[in-house]
Amino acid sequence: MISVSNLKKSFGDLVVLDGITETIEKGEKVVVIGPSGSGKSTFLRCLNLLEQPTSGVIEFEGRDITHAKGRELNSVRMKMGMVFQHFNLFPHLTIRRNITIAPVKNKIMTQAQADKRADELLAMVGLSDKADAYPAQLSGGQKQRIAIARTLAMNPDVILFDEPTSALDPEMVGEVLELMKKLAEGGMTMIVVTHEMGFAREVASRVLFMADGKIQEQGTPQEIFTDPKNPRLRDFLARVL
Amino acid sequence: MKKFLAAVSALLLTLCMFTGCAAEQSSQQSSVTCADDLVGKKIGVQIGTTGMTYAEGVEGATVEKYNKGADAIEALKQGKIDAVLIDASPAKYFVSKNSDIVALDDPFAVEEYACAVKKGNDELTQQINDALAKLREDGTLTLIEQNWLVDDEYGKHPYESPEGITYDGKLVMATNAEFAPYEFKEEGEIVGFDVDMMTAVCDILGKELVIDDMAFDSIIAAVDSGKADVGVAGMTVTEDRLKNVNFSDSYTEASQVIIVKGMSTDLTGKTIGVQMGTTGMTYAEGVEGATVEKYNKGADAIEALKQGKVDVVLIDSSPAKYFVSKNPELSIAPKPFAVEKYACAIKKGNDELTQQINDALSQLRENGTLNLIEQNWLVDAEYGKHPYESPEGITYSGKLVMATNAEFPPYELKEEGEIVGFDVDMMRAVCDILGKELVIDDMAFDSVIAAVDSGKADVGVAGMTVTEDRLKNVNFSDSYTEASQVIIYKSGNASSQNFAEKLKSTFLDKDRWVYLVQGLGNTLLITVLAVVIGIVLGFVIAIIRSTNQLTGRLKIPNFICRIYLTVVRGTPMVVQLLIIYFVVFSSVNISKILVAVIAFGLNSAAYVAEIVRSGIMSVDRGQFEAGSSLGFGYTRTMISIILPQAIRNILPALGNEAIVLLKETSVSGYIALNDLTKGGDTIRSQTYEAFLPLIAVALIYLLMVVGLSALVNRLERRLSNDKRK
Repeated sequence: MISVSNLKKSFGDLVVLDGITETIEKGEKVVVIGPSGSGKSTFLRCLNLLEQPTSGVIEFEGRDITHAKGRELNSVRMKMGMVFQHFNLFPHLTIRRNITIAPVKNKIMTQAQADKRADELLAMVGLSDKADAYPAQLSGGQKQRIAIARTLAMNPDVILFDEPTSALDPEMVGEVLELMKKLAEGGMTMIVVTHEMGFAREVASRVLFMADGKIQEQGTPQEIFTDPKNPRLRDFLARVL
Repeated sequence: MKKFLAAVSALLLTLCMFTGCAAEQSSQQSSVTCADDLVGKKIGVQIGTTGMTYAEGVEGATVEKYNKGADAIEALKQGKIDAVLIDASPAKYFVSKNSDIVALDDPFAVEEYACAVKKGNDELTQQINDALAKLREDGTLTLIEQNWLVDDEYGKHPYESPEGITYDGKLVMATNAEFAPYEFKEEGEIVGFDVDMMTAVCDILGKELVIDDMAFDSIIAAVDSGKADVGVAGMTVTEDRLKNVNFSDSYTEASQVIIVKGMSTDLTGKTIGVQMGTTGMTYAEGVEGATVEKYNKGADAIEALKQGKVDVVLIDSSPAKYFVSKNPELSIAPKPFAVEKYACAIKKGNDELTQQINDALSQLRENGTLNLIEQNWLVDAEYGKHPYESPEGITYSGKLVMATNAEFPPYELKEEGEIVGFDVDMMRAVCDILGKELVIDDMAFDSVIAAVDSGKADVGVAGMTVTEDRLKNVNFSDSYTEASQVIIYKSGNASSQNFAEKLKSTFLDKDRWVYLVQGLGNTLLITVLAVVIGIVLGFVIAIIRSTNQLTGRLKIPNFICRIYLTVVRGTPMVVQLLIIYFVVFSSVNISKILVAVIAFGLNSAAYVAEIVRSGIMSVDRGQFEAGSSLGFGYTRTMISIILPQAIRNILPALGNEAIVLLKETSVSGYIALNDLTKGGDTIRSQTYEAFLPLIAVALIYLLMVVGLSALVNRLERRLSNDKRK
C-alpha cells in the first residue's frame, strides 16, 4: 500500500531521515518506536507530505506521490488520515462540524449524509452526547477520540498516528488506546508512532525500531521485545520497559 | 450606563457654571472712521476752540464742551463721547501718550493760527507781522516748528534769546496753557510753540514777554479790554473773533483732526491672529516683533481674540464688520491697516477665460449690477434687500467651477446650508453673462489657488487680493471690488447670554442643529463605507502577506503590500487625505465624500491588514496541518479553518480600528467636507460660542463610540461561545 525507498530528509544541515526503505501492506498495523529525535515523527509526516522529503520516492497505492501537488496531493491525503499528538481539533466548530467539515467540503458527502456518519462515529467512539459541544469543553482523551472520528469520517485507507497519547494525562491514555485497538481489530491499516510499548506488543503486526534516521531493526513484537538483536534497541528497551 | 450619564451631566453642569460667569457687560464701540461718520455722534471739544465751532456745525451731533483738551480725551477714553475734534498738534501729543486712542488720517479742516491784537492797535499788529516775517526768513520759526510740532521729543531745537539782550518795557500775552504743544505747563512753567514764537517776536521788538494764563474763552476779552497786549493760544482767525480783535498774519498752519477711541495701526510686538493664506497673514508677518497666529478660519481667529489668545486680528474689512456686528465686545481699529483690491484667480495661461470674466465684470459695472450686489452685501445693514437674481428663463451650456472658502462673510458664507455672499452673487452674474452654470466648490482658503492651478476649479473667488506670490501660480481678473485690511481688537466684554439662550442660539436658531445632523450623516456614511473598504482590502493584503510568510509564495504581491503598508502607516492621515483630494483627484470633479471614503478606506486597510495578519499568524500551525491532513488545500484551510479563528481573535482589535476610524474622520474638514466636526465648527463660526457646539460634537462622538464598543463586545461574546465552559 505504501512503499518508501531511500527516503531522506534534512532540515538544513541536520539529517533527520537517512535513507529509509520500507513497504507497508494493506491491513498491517505498524508501530514505530525509538528514542526522541530518531526521526519517527518526521518519517510519518513525510508519508502524507506534511514534510517534503529531501530525496527518495514515496509510492501510495501504486502511484508515485513524492511530488504531488494541489488536487492530487489533497486526494492522497483524503485517503491517508492523520491523528496528531495535540489533536488539532477546530476550536471554532462544534464536535459534529469538526467531524463533518472534511467530507462535506471535499464534496464526498452531503451535509445530511455526513451528519448521519458523524452520529455513527460518535456512537463508536462513545461520545454521542458531545455532538453539539465545542472542543474546549472536552477532556484530552475525549478530544483525541473525536480527532480519530474526524479522520475516520473521510473513510481513509490508512491512518497515521503521531504519538496520539503523548499529550494526555495518564488516566486518559487507556480510552484512546482502546479505541485504536478497536480500529485495528476492524482491519484498518495503521502506522503508529508511540511510546506505548504495551500497545505495540498487543496490537502491532510489525514493529520498526528507528534511531539516527534509520530503521535499525524490525520484526514482530515477539522478535523485537523478547529477542532484540541491535544493541541500540536493547539499550532503548532497557530504559523504557 | 446610568453612572456614565450621571458623570457626563455633572461635567456639563460644572462647565456651564464656568462659562456663565465669563461674560460681563458690553460696551458701545466707536464707529467713527471718517469725518462723515460724525453725524449724530457725541463730539468732545475744548470750549471756545474752532473745533467747537466745527462740531456745532455737524448735523445731529451732540457737542460736549470741556475746559481742557485733556478732559475731552479723558471723556473719550471713558466712552462718554464718540470722538474728539481738536487741533492736529495737540492731537498728535495726546495720541502719543495714550495707546487706546487714534487720530484719523484725513483732517477735518485745515486752518491757520494767528495772534489776536486789540482792535485798532494797528501799530502792534504791524510790528508783530514784521517780526514774524523776519523770523520766517532767518529760519527761527522753522526751528521752533521743528522743535514743537515735528520732533518726536521736543527740546532738541530749543529757542534761546540772543545773549545780553535788554528789554524796554513788557508785552503781555494772554494764553490758555492747556493746549499742548502750543502752550502747556511743564514743571510749573508755561512752555510751547506759541511761547517760543512770542519770545522770539518780543526779542525783536525789544520787549519782555509776560505770560498771562487764563481760560481760552477769556483771551479775546482780555485783549479787547487791554488786560493783555496780545492773545496767542493756537487761535484760528474766525469771523466772530474778527469782530472783537485784530489778527496778525498767520504764524503756523494747523488742522482739526478727529480723535477716536481705538487701536492704533502700530502692531509692533503684538500677537496677531490671521486667517491662513490671506494677505492679512502676509502683512502680519511683515510686522516687526509681532507673533503671527494662523487660523484656518477667520471665525477661529476671532474666537482666539475673544479668549485673549491673540491681541488683535488682522482681517479684511467686510468680514471684520460682520464679525464685530456679531460680537459687541470687539471693535475695528479706526484706521485701515492696508487697502487692497479683490480679483478672481484663473488658471495660468487661460487668458480666454480671464478676458471673458473681465468683459463680464465691466459689463456688470456699467449696467449697475455690481453696484447692487455691493449695496446688498457690503453697504446695507441687513443684506437681502437687493439680492441678485439670474435673468428668467436663462439656459446654460456647460459649467464653471468656482473654488472658494465659505468662511469669509460677507463675501462667502454658509447660511442655512447654502453658500451665499458677495462673491457668489458676483460670480453668478458673471456666469449668467458667460452662459455657464456656476458650481461652487468649498475648500480651505489656502487650497483655493492650488485648486485653480490644478484645474480642479475654473476660477478661485474668495475675497482674494492680487499678490506677487499668487501671481506666480495663477492669473487674476480685473479687480471686482476694493477692500481694506483692518485690525479688530477686544474693546469690552461680551454680553452675557444665559445657558438657555446659548442652547437656543447654538441649536435652535436658524435650525443650526441641522448642521450637526447632516454632519453626523456624512461622518457615519464615510465611516461605514471606509470600514468596508478597509476590511475587504485589509483582508486581501493580510492574506497575501501571511501566505508569503507561511508558504513563501506571492513574493511580488507581498513586496507591493509591504510598500503600501509602509507608506500608509508612515504618513499622517490628514496628509493622505489632502494628497488624495488635491493630487490624485486633482483634476477630477469628484464627490468629497467619495474622496474621504477612499482616503480613510485605504488608510484603514493598512491597519486592518496588520491586525488580520497577526490574527492569522496567531492561529496554531497544527490547525493548518489538520486541515491539510483532511485533504484541504491552502485556500480552503485558510477560509474554513484559519480565518474564522483569526477573526475571532482579532475582533476586539478590528472593533477598535473602526472606532479609531470613526474619530479619525473628524479631519475631513480639511477638504471642506461637512462632517460632524465641521458641522460643529460651522455653528461655532456663526454663534461665536465655542462651548456648546464643541461639547455637543464631542458627546455625539462619545455616544457613537460607546455604542460601537458595546456592539463589538456583544459580537465578541457570541463568537467566543466555543470557549464557554
